Amino acid sequence: MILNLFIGVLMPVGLFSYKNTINEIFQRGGQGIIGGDLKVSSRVRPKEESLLVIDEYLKDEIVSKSEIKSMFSMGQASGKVGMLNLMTVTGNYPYYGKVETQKGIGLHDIKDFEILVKPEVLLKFGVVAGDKIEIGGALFTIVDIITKDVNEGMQLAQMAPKVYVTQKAIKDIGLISQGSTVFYSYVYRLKKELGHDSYKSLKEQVLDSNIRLTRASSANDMFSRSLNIVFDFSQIIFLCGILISVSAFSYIYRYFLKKESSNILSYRILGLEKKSIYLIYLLHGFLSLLLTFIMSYFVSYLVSPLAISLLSKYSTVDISGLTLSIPFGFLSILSLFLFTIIITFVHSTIEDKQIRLVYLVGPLISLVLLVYYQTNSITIAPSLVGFLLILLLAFYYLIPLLISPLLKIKQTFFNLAMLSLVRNKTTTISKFYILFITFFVINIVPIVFMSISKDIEVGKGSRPDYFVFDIQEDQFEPLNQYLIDKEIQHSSVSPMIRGRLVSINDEEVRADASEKSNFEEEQRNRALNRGVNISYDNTLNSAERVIKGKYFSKSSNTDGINEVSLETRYAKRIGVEVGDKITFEIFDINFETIVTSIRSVKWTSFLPNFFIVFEDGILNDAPKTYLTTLSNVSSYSEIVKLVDHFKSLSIVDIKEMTGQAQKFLTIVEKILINMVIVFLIISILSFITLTIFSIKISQADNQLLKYLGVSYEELLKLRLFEFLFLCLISTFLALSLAFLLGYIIVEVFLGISFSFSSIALTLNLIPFVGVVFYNKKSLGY
Amino acid sequence: MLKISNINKGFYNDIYTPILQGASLNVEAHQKVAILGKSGSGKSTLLSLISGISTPESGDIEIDQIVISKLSENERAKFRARNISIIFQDYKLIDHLNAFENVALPLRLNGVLHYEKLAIEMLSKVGLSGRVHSFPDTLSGGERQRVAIARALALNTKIILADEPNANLDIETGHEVMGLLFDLVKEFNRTLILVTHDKELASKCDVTYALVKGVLEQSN
Repeated sequence: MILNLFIGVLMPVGLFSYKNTINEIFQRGGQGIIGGDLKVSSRVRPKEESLLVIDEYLKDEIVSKSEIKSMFSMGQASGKVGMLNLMTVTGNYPYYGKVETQKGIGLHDIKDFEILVKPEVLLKFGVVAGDKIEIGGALFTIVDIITKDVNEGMQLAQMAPKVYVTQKAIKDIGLISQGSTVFYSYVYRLKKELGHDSYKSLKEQVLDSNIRLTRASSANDMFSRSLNIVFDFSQIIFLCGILISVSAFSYIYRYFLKKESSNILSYRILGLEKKSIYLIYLLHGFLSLLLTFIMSYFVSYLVSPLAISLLSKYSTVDISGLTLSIPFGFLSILSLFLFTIIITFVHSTIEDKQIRLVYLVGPLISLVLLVYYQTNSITIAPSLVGFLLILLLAFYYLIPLLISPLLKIKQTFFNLAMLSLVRNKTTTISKFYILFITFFVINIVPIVFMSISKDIEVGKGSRPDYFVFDIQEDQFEPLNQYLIDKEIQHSSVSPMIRGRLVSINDEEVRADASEKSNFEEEQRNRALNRGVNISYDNTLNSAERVIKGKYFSKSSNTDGINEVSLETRYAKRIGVEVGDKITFEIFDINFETIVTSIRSVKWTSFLPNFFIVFEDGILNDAPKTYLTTLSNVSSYSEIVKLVDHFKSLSIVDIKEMTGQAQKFLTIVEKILINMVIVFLIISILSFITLTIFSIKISQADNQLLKYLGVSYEELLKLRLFEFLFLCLISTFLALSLAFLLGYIIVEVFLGISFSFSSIALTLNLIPFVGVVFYNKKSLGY
Repeated sequence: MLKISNINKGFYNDIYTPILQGASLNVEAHQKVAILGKSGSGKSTLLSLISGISTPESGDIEIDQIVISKLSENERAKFRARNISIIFQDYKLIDHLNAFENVALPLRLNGVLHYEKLAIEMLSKVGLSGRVHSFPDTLSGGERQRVAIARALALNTKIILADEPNANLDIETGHEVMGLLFDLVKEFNRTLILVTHDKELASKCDVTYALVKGVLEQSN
């Protein structure tokens, strides 16, 4: 019993430690990540008054302040072009951590038209230190190679490698102009760490929603977000692992208590009070749990070096000195959940009553708490638990219903097997549940991943080759003409205007200043707390589809208010529907709009698409840049020539980007596969212990059958009938649900095509390995 | 009917412990034979040898001229299914089968076609026609033993082995059950080998043997 509990507890504890350790890495390295104690960042040039507010607030605490600008620009060398992430630093940044280089040339040592580059730049352009790269029409000399940098999280995907350059050089070549995409950051070194309350108060005072404040201790949010996506999905695996072990534990524990009934009767005959009997068994349960957790902790500690070495493959932060951190909060809630189950069974045994649904309230509430702790979502937690409860109840009644018709089959051994399944309901449901969850997880994970992976692969032919942005207004016509002259196929050129969300239905928009909000609120905060990219177009492109309302129909009843169309996920995040009014501020002018349609967008088409689209005619005079895509580019040299002509353009090679996305996906896939493997091991171990246990308790029946003249082969046939039949039903139901849910997740939520791997389906054979436990010895022959 | 010739059987723990040492026995058809012995004298071992569950280290066990001690495990199982029924002191009913299903079990295992009718008849014979669909955990000790008796008698086996069938019953119920057993054995003309430490019960059998120091000695 303890072994089963241990197996089941170890996995979620281990995986949760894994996740916690990642967070701790970033929390510890937070200062090293942002290079200071506080970072103020914005996707547009922040208003001076906003910066003054911050400086005024921090006043006496400021030790030093630096300005960092970051922008994308095309580089050119050795006949190759590629996008670069240019960074300029004014001030003594970084205050924590270092930018280390091969020859030791520091950030502040470079002169104008000298650059420090990441090693990827050398590969990208086929250059070495000392060579020159053309950026924005000027030549920059590579003076040194960056070996270690601040401001990096997990090494997951880098679209444009970093290049440090002086601010003056950038200014001189005119790369920063109105409408250019420049990211501004101000990093502060403070006398002491900014506390949570001060941080919250500061956020409330900064009225500019373009500005984002990050303090060191929450820097993990920025960089571990992508990894958090992995962990979000892995919540399912955590939860399933817990459910499996709890199912097996519950069955074994219940059997143990059943056998204790005669002892309980003896205690009562001896005059022991009920409360004393309760104490005996609750203490027993408590000590079992304690022993289990000590063992889990011990084993986690033992495997910690292996786990840390695995993590270090994905991290550029030095984590070699770390050990796995044990999530005591999680352990406490898990203990509570398991203890409520123990209480339920002890109560039922001592009072000699069947377990009713009302007894399950305690375990269910603690399960909701456990799921909430993991997912931090007020909708996911109860929904998931509710769904699982419905599933459990459904199976409890459905499985016997499915099997009962088969009782009509009179073949003796088959009939005996079916009777055993139907009449030993608790064993059957426990085993079924474990198998079902195992099969479900090992099917749904590959389904979702295959679909995402294939979506990136598929449509390669129809996908454009290059994405072009930062097209200035005065380049619009010449670029159009150039592309026509060169016969380069391009999509219609889309305007992009920066704006800010001001109000929704006349209510001013303010994001919640608190850091720790739940998942849904965090998504909403993110949606509200940033400037927005707006476009205008009266026609939909091939990647868009109106799912609600009408797209810029002149006949819609808008009372003369400007129409706007929103992307569906964005609309959901900010809580807006068709008919709602939104006010945007664009270059200090407020535009009141009414949402007349909501669109779904296939983002993997890589066509220019926007969350917010106005109808043509309203924003045409606003300062803007343009975007377009290029297709069927005959040769790479066309891109080189294009950049030669239009030096301020930024061009992304979509193939390379999807390659990066594929790389990211591969890493994410590896992490998930590791988790699924651990999950599979745990679930198989749980299933094995349950199988061995149920074989053991059926030995009395086996013995009788032996006396009745049943041979070993016949007995084996009987027991294998039971086992294989259960495996088959659970495989079928789990596969069906995995396909159904997978389809919903992929097609409805992600909006991509459903796909699955036939090879992954072979994983469903693994639990059938359980047949090896049916042998002469185990069957008592 | 049953002939046991000079069988030896022992068990190994750290050392070899002999249980039966040159035990011999002759049982005629339709006889009721009692085997008396103290706890640990080897009565259950003897029953397991007669039933073919285990084999002696030396000596033979012959039933109707078939030397079962020389048969293979599967052959012994088949023989046992068709020819031997056993009644245990702890009843050994299958918990998830009701009374009818427990009685019908040996009939079904042997491919008897009208097993439903036979099983219900047997339950009626043991006075449980009203408990046909009851599960063992709802039956009293006496009722469970009646089901076990019905099961043992349902199939027309040559020999019925009874291993202290009244041991777990109170005196009154034990007498009732044993009375029923003897009546039915007589009615169905079966051979009964009864293992017991109850001398009074043994006296109701045709022949009594005592198992002493691994040897069977006829005492009446």
